[in-house]
Amino acid sequence: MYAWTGKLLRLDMTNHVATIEDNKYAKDYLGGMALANRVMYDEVPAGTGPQDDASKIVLAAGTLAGTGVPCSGRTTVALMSPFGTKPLIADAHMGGNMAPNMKFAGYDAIIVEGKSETPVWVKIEDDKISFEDASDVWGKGTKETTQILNDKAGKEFTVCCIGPAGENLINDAVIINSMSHAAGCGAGSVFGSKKLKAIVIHGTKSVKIAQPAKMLQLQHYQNADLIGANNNHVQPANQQSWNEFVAPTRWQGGPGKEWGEGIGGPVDTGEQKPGDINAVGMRNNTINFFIGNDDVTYKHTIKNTGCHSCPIRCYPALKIDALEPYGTQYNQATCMTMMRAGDWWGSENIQNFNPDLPFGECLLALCSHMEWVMDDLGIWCGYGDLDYVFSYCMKNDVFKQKLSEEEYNSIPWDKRAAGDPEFINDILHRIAYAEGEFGRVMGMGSLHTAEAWELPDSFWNEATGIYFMFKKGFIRHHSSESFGQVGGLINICFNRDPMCHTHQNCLGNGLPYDIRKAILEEKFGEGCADNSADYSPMNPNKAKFAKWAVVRDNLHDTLALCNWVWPMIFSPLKERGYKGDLALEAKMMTAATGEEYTEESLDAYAEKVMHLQRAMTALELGSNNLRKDHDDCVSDWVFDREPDQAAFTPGTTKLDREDWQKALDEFYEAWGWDVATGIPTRATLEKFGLADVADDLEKNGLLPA
Amino acid sequence: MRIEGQPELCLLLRVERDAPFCVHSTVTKQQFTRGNKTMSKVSIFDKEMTRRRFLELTGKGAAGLAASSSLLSLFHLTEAEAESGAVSIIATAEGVLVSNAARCTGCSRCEMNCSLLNDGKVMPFVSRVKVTRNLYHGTDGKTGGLFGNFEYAPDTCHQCEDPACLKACPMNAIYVRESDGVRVIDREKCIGCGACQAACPFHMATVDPEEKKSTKCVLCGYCAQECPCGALTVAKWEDVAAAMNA
Repeated sequence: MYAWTGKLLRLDMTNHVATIEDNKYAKDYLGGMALANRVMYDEVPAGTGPQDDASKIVLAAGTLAGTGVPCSGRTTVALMSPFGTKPLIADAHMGGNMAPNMKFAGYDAIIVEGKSETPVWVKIEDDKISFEDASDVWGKGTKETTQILNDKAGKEFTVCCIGPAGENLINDAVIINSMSHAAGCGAGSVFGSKKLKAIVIHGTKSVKIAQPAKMLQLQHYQNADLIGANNNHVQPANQQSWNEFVAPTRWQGGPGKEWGEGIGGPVDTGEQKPGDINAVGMRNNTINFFIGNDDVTYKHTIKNTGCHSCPIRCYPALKIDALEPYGTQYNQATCMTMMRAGDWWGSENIQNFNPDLPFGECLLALCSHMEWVMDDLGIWCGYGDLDYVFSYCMKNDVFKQKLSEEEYNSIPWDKRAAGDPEFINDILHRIAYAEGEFGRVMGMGSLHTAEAWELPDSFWNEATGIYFMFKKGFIRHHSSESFGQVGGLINICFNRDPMCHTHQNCLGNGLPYDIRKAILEEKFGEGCADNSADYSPMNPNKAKFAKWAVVRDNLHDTLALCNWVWPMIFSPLKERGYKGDLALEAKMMTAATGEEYTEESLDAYAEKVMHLQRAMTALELGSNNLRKDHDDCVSDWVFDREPDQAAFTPGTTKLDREDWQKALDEFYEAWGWDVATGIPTRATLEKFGLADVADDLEKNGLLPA
Repeated sequence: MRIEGQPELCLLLRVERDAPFCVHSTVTKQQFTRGNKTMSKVSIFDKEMTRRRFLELTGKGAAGLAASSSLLSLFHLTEAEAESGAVSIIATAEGVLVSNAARCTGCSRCEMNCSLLNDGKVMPFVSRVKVTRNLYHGTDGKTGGLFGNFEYAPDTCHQCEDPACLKACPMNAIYVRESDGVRVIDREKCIGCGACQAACPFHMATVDPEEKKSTKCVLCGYCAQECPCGALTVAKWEDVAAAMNA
């Protein structure tokens, strides 16, 4: 068998039994998200809570994991989300090294079910699986846990573990591997409820490739001609000898941009001419993109790191000597994870970390320290959900109102004012251990926190750009700030923050709007892609773009590829007219598996899983009208921001309520969902081989007429 | 400085950062163009002489390379990197392997490219460059790696002049290829007994359990060609000679 291993590993946590089964899902679901969702549909009854006995969690590698395809290191983790009013199917995603090593050990997916009475870690070495006593690592942070388990199993094993947050069943808990690659959405507490401390895995097997020479050629072609930097950013932020455009992108590298803490001395990232494969990994510095005051991040960068097989290396590894007293001197992180200091210490206190240092140094230090501690405790930020809750509660004196005087005074607010890193150690410890009213409520996720502390509707509506969906318990990623209705619509598809970057990669990637517009319009038609803050009313081509953004995202979570680099919409090569290759996923799949795939045939698998997840959502909500119960709950700020301006005039990203209804109509039409209810019709479900799911909806009175 | 066997056998120049002989120069903003390497031919070439000159030059460490900008360029090194402790240079019978911990970013593409090219499948276990074993906790399993100070790099085959793997093989399946001096395995003769694997002091030769044949580096250079950060360089002695004569 090519590409697939053909096997699933089932871990029965109750009886400590491991079973290797044939992977019956490979042909019809490929892997990753599609496989994991089908397993959940088949095996976990609607209404099951994430920590119930009947709950399961599926870690699914993609068909392309372990094939060498660039950016194929991700694992899709399907589970029941605890963040809504009812438990709903959701996917978490984890980079690092897990999925490829699952394949090398011989498994396309790992299904975890049941509950252990005592804490265990599971060791997987090819076909040898054992349930090991975890009493000496239970309670430990993820980093110490990894060291201990690597000592026991072998230093080449990939350790995927939880920290105290997962052990203590906090909703905001992750499973994490390779220092900081985490799957959120409550994955940590599902593991914790099963008393599963870690999966420790190593494989000596091969992933077979049908057309090895073709595969090598395709990978070389992608790395030479197509790939840019993180987020499909295809032009650098500085002028090199070759680039036509310069724009503030994540492609921060260039001559004179040095990894200041390089091993043995500074490493100049130099030129990164497209075609020079040996320089692709020198392009990116995601943190310098965000915290780039005088290139402060570059000053502290040791090197880049990132996920297995990815040439982009979007995680700067940092050395910050000022953090040595706190034990957090060495860290790696990317993007959102490094944006926190303002929310938690308050912008006004950041400089107090060290008044003798430039502001950028203080900001970087506090952000990095916090990230280190969060990863060690195994806390999930909800992509900023937790951060916003804290900053809102600070600003509105919620803690003063809701905590006892004694508890409130026990929090070291003086350390917060002093910009002291230890403030966050205290705060995060309370969350990871559910200590006090503060800890009990803060790690629940915004919806439950808002309910517990009776936060007003303004919590959702006030902060523009945070909660696109009203009272749903998840943050936008991304929303109407990204191509207007297109960005808004992706938020209705999932039961968590959408984690969809396909469309977002088309924004701010270094190419001027007219070039991006032309490339997108070639695919979706005129008017599909508005310029930033210059929106126009809804049209069917926008629906096409929005649907394709979601479909490709699902495809990437299925294969699994990184949706922050793929799809190859653009290229850094002027000779190509900056155009990428949207059929590349299909070409890679064909070379890997020996089966013929086209762009359309492959996208169909990804569309299929959306219909499946949509149906599962209807069943889990008991709703025959997802339009009303799930989708049409958009926060007021989306429509009411910039009150002196009308929607669809330059300078505002506001949308229009009536137009939004039209957007829903056209989006549903594009998907083949009933326009009144937003639920897939029988015709659509049957078209994608989901007749049994249509029957299930019908049996429950939820199928559109 | 650790010298494996005789000086011309296999000179491992991986030095510790604080070793007294390790010179940290002030950083020079030396720019160099990176590009795909092309193998050039030189009309007069004496491999042994080239090796001797090279070993003299690098006798005290990779810092010796800093004397020659063409050599630095050949190995994709800056002067600072050459003078740091981060660079491992292995002078083998066929050429020079450089593994640079300063540039290795742990993507594991070398492992996958090696096996895909040489075995027609992706199988890091038999890869002739091995980085996964250093990735999480470094070479010593404690202080380096992702969970330490981020020091890790691929281990590479030393192409030993007097190879332990060759001597251990009961079938004489490992031999020196006449055309280029590369130590290769005759798959017809190999019975996959694992003697080479046990004998290799660098834990590099690996028996492929699926084929029941041993695998070893043949200096194809593909890992280096495709490394996203230029952490690996393979240079044949002809090119070293050309650079030293430049």
